[in-house]
Amino acid sequence: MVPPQRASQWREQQQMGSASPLGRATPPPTKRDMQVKVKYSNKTRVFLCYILVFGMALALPIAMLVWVYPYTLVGTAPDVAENLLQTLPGLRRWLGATADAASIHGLSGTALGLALVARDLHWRVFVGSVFLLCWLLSLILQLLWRRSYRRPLMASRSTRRAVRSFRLMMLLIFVLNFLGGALVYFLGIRFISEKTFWDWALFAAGFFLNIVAAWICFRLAAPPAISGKHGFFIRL
Amino acid sequence: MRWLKAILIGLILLGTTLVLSGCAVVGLEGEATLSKPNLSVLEMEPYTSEDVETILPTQEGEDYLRVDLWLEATQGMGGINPHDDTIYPHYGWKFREGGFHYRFRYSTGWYEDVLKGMLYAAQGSRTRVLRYGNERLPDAYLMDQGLVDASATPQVIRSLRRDLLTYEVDPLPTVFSEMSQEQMQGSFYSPGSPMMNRMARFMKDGGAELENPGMVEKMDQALARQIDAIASGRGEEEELLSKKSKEENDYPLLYALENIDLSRLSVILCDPASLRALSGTSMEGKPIAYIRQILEERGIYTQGLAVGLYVFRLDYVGQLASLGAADFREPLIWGKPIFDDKKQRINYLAPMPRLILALVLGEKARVNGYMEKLNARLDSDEALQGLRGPLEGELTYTRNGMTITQQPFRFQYWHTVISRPDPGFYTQHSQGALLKIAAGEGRVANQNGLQTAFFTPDQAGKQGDRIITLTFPLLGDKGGTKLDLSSLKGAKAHVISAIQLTQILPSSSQITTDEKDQVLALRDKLYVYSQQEEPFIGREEDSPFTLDSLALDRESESLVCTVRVDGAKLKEGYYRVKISADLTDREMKWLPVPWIDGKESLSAAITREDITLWETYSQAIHEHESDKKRIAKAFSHAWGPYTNLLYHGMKVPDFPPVEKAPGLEELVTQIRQAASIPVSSFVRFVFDAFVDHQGSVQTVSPR
Repeated sequence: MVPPQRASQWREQQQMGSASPLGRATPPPTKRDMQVKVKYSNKTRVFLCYILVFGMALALPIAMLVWVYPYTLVGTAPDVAENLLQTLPGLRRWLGATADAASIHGLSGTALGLALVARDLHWRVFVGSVFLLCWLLSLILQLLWRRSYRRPLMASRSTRRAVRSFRLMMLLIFVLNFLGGALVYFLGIRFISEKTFWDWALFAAGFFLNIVAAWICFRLAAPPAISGKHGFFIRL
Repeated sequence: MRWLKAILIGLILLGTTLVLSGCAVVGLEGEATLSKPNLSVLEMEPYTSEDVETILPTQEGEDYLRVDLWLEATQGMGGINPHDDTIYPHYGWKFREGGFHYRFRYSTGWYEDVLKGMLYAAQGSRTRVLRYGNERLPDAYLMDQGLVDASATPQVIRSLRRDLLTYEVDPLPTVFSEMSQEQMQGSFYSPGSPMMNRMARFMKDGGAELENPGMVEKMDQALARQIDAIASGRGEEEELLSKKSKEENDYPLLYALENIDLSRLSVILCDPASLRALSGTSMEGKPIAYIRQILEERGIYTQGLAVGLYVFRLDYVGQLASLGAADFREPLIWGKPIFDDKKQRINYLAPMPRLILALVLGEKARVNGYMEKLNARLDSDEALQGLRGPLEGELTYTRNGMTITQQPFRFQYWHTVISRPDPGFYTQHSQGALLKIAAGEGRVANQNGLQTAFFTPDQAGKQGDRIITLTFPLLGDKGGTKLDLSSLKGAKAHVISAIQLTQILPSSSQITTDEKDQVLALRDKLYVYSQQEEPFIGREEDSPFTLDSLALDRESESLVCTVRVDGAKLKEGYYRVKISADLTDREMKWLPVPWIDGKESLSAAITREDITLWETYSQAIHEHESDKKRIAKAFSHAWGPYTNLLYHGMKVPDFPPVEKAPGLEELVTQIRQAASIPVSSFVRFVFDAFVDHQGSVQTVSPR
């Protein structure tokens, strides 16, 4: 099999007057061949895929917490700091002041209003933090998996292994995000009265998006060694 | 794939840990969020009270006390018969003058001891004795004498008049001894007495003891001229004598009240017989109460002063030419010498009982202090002990168609203080004021400086009816009055402001609301709460708060106000409710005093028919007895005992009630009327009511 040549190598050979490695004279390039065609390499496409998919999975929930929450869910925040302290009393040293700021016992008027604003903030920070952690862990797991299959040796066997590990990794990522969602639910969402679509959209959808983003990247951004045009892992 | 295995093991361990600790998360008991706006965020502005308590003014505290002793020097006080043409001699074997201040040998009337007691009670103060009677010093006369000019203020004129009436300053008790003698001609009580002019005594130090020191000489001349005019019979013509027969409202007590110095404690001795008419009718037919009028004009009660009243039962020997508005052509003989069986010598002088009044005007605390000292003195003075009067029933008079034989009597006195009643002013700041929810669900707490009632709905989300009670410990000084709220009108509970939901807007950054509105954001809605002032004005029936009753609880000595709250009309938010009630003099009823207007009243009422009857009879005595050499036995004292016989075709009437105090009840009634406040603020209580929807944040379970 003749290894493909680069255009630069071919021109060099032509200039040196050398024949092809097979000793056969190659026909001169046509004008059409001389035009430069920019082709996005697989690496670029993979990079763009990660940016787009995991970026969307990150940006959407964060954007909803920052810009949508004040106009759809303001005033519904549970006392997540206090709930955390009840679950893990050892955190009082770090979260005591935070919980006090959101305490509304015996308050009224402006002081109560400030406490409720603090609750909103704490809740959003908590949900965002849990989501961010799950997103980061999902991304790291996915990248670690990808790294372990970049070598092109024994591609067929590697691909089969990759498929098995893909399923395992998806399970892991699913469990991770499920646990994150469950944490948010048990420490906060279940205390919200009369939940609407927006409650689930803002607090739960992000974890779902993490799983979807990971699945897409598994399937579309796999290393070239195990991906192919019509393979299980599609090469972009 | 080692890393994968490591991750798996780690996750298994983490999962185990989470499962074990997950119970804490799953079993967590937390606080549920509200599905409605948290109304506790709403703030009611602090309440600034505009209600001002009517605080009775008090005079600036002085370190010293100045006392004016106003001694009435009318002829009735001295028992002097002013008529020259009379069947009775002024001084003689059978008839005497002297009145309250009679003298007989070494004894004198109790009146002098009472005066000494009054002087004693004023010990330590600057005391001034003034003489006032039927003589007058009109403004025109003072101007004519150069004592004042036309621009002089009433205060200046009164000050000058007091100086002219001054008899003595810082007197010794012996000063009273010189006022009377057995023969009363030219005495302190004579009309136009020379004793009126005491300026020679004050000239020695240039009048330093007077209010107007530099005018002693002019005052001396004015008084001398006045005495001369009265002696010459020009007194009435020049208006230097009271117009007794013409003006029913010109008598000594009014003259004294018009001229007293309100900055001093004034003690006014007054013979009730000299009170001609206490009330009358104006030209337009409007009734006038003279005493009340003068007290209101001088602002006695508006300046926070009080009036103490004494009634003394004293001994009297004299000839009374008038009683109230009745003028007698021949005097009433009351008290006389008692002879031995052979009528050759006077065994003793038998006085008859008469009542004399004394008003003590000044700052309430000083009035009370002075009266306390005087009472102690009167109770301990031995000179006022013992019995006086006819010892063996020698003197009689007729009353209610019966002969009354006078028995020996003792010195007695009665007293009371009439001050402006203070019913109290009940506000949310009153000590002990308590707001309570007597019926229905709710609680009360202090918030925003006011007591606030918190209403939460029932399980079905509806607000029930409530009864709120306000309880105040009774305040104020009733001052001899009784609070009767049964006829109280105009008390009400009205909402002065409310914070209510006015709009629900979609949540958006472009929404703008009034600065004063309070906006609560919940999910995608903005709940706008606006404060409205007087929200139920013109539609009081929509107000949830209604005043049911305002009554006194005598057992607990408290004022209880009951407010009914209609739950159906309550809306979420805040209400600021004001309970207001005003008192009129109808609600402050004066308690009867037994010796004034009760069963044992010392007062006597004189009607026009009585006056006509007595004057006619007295005139008949003069006509039929003047030409006789001896006075008929019936007229030797008090028109004699009861008889069925006619006197020249006339039935002998009951003797005029000289032993009583004519007009006492009306006098006290007018003083009380002057003391009463027409309208006074009684209750101004403000409280807040917070109406919540289900789940007030105040009920969140504690940590």
